[in-house]
Amino acid sequence: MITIIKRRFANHGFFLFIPIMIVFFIFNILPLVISLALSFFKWSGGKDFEFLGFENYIFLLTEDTYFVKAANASLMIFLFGVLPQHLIAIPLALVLNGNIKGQKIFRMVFFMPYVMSAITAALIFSEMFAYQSGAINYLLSLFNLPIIPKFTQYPAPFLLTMSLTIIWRNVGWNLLLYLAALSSIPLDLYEAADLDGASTFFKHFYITLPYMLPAIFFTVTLSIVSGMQIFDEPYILSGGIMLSIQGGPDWLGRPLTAYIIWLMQKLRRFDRGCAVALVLFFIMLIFTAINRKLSNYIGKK
Amino acid sequence: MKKILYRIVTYILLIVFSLIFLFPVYMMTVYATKNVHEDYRESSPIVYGTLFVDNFLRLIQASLFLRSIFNSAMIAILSATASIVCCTIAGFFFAKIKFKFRNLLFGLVIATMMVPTFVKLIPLYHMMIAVKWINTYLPFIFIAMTSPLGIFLMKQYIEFGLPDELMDAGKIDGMNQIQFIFFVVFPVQRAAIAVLGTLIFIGTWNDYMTALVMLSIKEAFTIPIFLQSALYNTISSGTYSELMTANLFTQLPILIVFLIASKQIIKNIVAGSIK
Repeated sequence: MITIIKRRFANHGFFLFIPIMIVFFIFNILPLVISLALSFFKWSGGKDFEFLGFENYIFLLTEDTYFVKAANASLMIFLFGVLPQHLIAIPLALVLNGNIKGQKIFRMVFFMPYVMSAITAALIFSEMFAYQSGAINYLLSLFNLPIIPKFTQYPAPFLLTMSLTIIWRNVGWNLLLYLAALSSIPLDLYEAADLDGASTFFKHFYITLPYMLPAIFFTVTLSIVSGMQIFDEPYILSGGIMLSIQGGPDWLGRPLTAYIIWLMQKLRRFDRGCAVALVLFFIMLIFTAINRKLSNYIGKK
Repeated sequence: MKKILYRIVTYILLIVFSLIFLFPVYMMTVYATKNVHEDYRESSPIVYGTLFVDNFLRLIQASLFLRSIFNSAMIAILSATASIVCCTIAGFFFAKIKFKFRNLLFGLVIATMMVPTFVKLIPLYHMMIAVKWINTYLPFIFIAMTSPLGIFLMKQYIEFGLPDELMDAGKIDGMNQIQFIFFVVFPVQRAAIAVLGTLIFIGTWNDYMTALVMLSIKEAFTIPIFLQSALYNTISSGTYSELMTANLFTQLPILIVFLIASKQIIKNIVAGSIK
């Protein structure tokens, strides 16, 4: 009797599980395989396939000036939009991890922008930094400071607006990760240091920092990888499809992700779009591998 | 004495910094109440205007806005529901049932967690064209349904949160596996399910890239695409007022969900990312 029940129990659910796994394969594995295959052909959506071998990749890496520009935009986003997140989030996490009243409220305030959509963030910031009607220029003019030129025309203001949008939305996320890492440091280390009369700086430098290093590597890698996927903010700030030929001042609104959309929707070179996506994916994998090596190395030390 | 001073300075800095962070949120509500493109030398841009009712009325008369809200709500709710059902079942199997190739399959799930959307976007677009799913809700639902992150999260939760004794009890009570999943696993895991549902809801509500590729006709627009097209219309016509009011209303559901569930969301997002 019990064996019959057991057998029934063990097998029934596979009727649910197997279809789910089939959907998983169709929507997660199959597109990746197709993407890889497509990048070796010339294909613009019709019936004609022409085998190119590695030509798409060679073209991207040697001749394609737009690819270089897009890569430059991605790099700029990394330098000005991604790295500063950590310069803000780490000190903030250290302060919030101390004995602060209302820690949860502060944490919520900093995390709130993360749940809002990137489109909304881009719209708000593009209004705030608008040349003649924006709040930022208004505030600057109140204090007789020089106002910021039009971000739709000049590269530096555009980079500033875009970076601040990205930083504003993502600092809270990194803050949460750092707070989680900090809360795992054993408290008795600090107590021992307190008994020895150590200063706050000493404690942070000799206790917090060594414990935090793996978390910092992890969080930075995570944000590099997600930074490469940033699309909405630069795309909306540079006017999306409307300005798709210019792509914002100095093409800064056209990082590699937006370049893929451009190749896809405007030029209909799906093959090359796949190649760009895979190159980007490959770079992300390299960063992840470096992170793993480094954190293993530090873990051993 | 020095310590007290240090604490006061810390609090002041924290509060100032919080205010800087809240300023864009405040500006979002301000912009909803005025026609934005006014010269700052004529009227102060950081004070509330008087056009909120006007903007709001014009907005709900524009049928496209309500339609987009409806589309986004349907997509977000259906995606969240589908992903809750599918990811819980898949998570349960990976966590508690032994079968052939289980580790290999789960390895694949983890590996695909790293694959970003835009790598799959072009093939998915053509697959959706082939089955004529462009401009429907289906691509969104199916993409969310087997979200690798969702499967991974639910597997973690079920593995550590569902005692094996419960499975034995279920067997002795004569439940089959499907009954067990729906009458035991779902109720026991409702906290994790709430988190997964919230994450998927917020994710699909805000999703711009997929919508940009999968939707082409106005009737199918979701909120991000509606905002984008409204932005282009306003660039050409020169008034921003309804756009920013629409902007506020699209964020209200998200902010409400967040304020209700922020403690759970924050706790579980961190737990999920670190595991």
